[in-house]
Amino acid sequence: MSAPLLELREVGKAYARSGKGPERAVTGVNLRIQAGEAWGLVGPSGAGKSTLARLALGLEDCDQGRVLFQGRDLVAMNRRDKRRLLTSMQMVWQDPTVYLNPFASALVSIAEPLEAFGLCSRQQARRRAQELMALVGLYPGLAGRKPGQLSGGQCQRVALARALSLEPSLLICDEALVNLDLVQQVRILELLGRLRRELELSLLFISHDPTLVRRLCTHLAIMEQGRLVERRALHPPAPRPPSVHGRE
Amino acid sequence: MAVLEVRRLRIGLNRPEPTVLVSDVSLAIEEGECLGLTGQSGSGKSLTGCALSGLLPPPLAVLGGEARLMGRSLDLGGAKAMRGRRGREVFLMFQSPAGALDPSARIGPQVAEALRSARGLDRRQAKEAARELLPRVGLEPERERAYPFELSGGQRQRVLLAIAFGLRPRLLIADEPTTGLDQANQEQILTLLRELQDSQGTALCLISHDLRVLAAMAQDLAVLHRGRLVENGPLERVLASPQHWHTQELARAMQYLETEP
Repeated sequence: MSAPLLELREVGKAYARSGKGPERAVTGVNLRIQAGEAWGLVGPSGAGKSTLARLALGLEDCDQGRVLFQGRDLVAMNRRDKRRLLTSMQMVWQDPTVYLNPFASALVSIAEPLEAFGLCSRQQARRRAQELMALVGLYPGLAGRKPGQLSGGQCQRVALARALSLEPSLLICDEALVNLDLVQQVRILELLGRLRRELELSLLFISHDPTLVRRLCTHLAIMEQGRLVERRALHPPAPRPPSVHGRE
Repeated sequence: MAVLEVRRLRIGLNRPEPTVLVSDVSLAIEEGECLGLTGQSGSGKSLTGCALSGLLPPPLAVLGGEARLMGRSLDLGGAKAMRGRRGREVFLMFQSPAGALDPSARIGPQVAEALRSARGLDRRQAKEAARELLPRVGLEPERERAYPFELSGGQRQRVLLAIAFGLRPRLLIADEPTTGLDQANQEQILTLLRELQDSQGTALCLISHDLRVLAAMAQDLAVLHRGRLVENGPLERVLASPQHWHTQELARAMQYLETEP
């Protein structure tokens, strides 16, 4: 079997606290995401889910264990390689109104990564951005709108299109639906399900809502107090033994 | 007897030009019952909740309609007019408890202060009552010395609930009390709300965009769309035969989540 898309081996991370000893946010996490799988990561607030996402993306380096993306160690990698690798791994965060440029139109936001990575000309990038808007269900009339002129659901679709512009093989969604109303949540959930099949996208979907995870994902991981306490396949046609997932 | 009766409530702006944001909303809630109020972002759910507790931020104002609480007419004219009745009669739990608590005061004194001003307890009684209320809502007694910023979102909601338990309001308006909380916290907050209903007969107006929360709590469901009431009736009936397209979408979304993929 080929190397997993993303593999976390005994990953740990502690943060320094003023006046107290370091606080362990993540401890001894093992997780393997194979191409085509959709993992839901659930757990209470403060369990370390978002920290784990940041470690997986290489936005922060773990202080224990290793993070391997397509078999390559993220921590050992130099900045240039890491930057290139990040095109294969993209992220959608909780509140797009915070991280989308408030002065950039939807079209510019979506086209920006393609230009920034020098993957195509400005004109090609804009044309591609129009296709991406259609893909995520944004009608063309919204192209010139800035985040403040879009609804929460529309902003989240812009963020999604922007993340998809680089054609990642893994998409990490951190509470990406949390600020949306139920109708919007279900629409984006359906969209993610469709994209997953059409683009052969793998997912790490972080949420505190098990219902959303059950509807979208193939696998479930439960995190508590920095540790993965459960890992299993969801509604499987043929249940696989638990030893297959994640464990060394 | 209906705890709350609202007839043709209109909310909006008088200046710069008259603008109606919520129009002709009529609602009723019986003692101990829960009315679920839902709708998309911007549909007027929160405005309705604020108006009924006299806490509309100016220049927003009640433009028309009437409301009766325990049979007595409610003066929805603004914060001052409602001062005597807010707290013990109608209690509003905001979506963001961080904004409802004084960031510079410790939790214990804050709960005690609310009991003192609304129930007229003396300092010592209020302090003791506050001390008993924190464990009632699942907060450790030593939390009385914590500042709001030291608490999680769920813990801050519990502080508001502790005040509600202390004041025993006739009507509690809870605006998205579980949004952003994890599953365990959500369930505990809903359980506390139910306990308040059962022990005090408090009528609950639960505002949420999450129909699953309302389905678990409410007997009646009202749906707002662009400031108008498009649905109002027993929850099961509304969900079984939704009349408005927005309610149909809501029902479909809920069904989608409930079916196995």
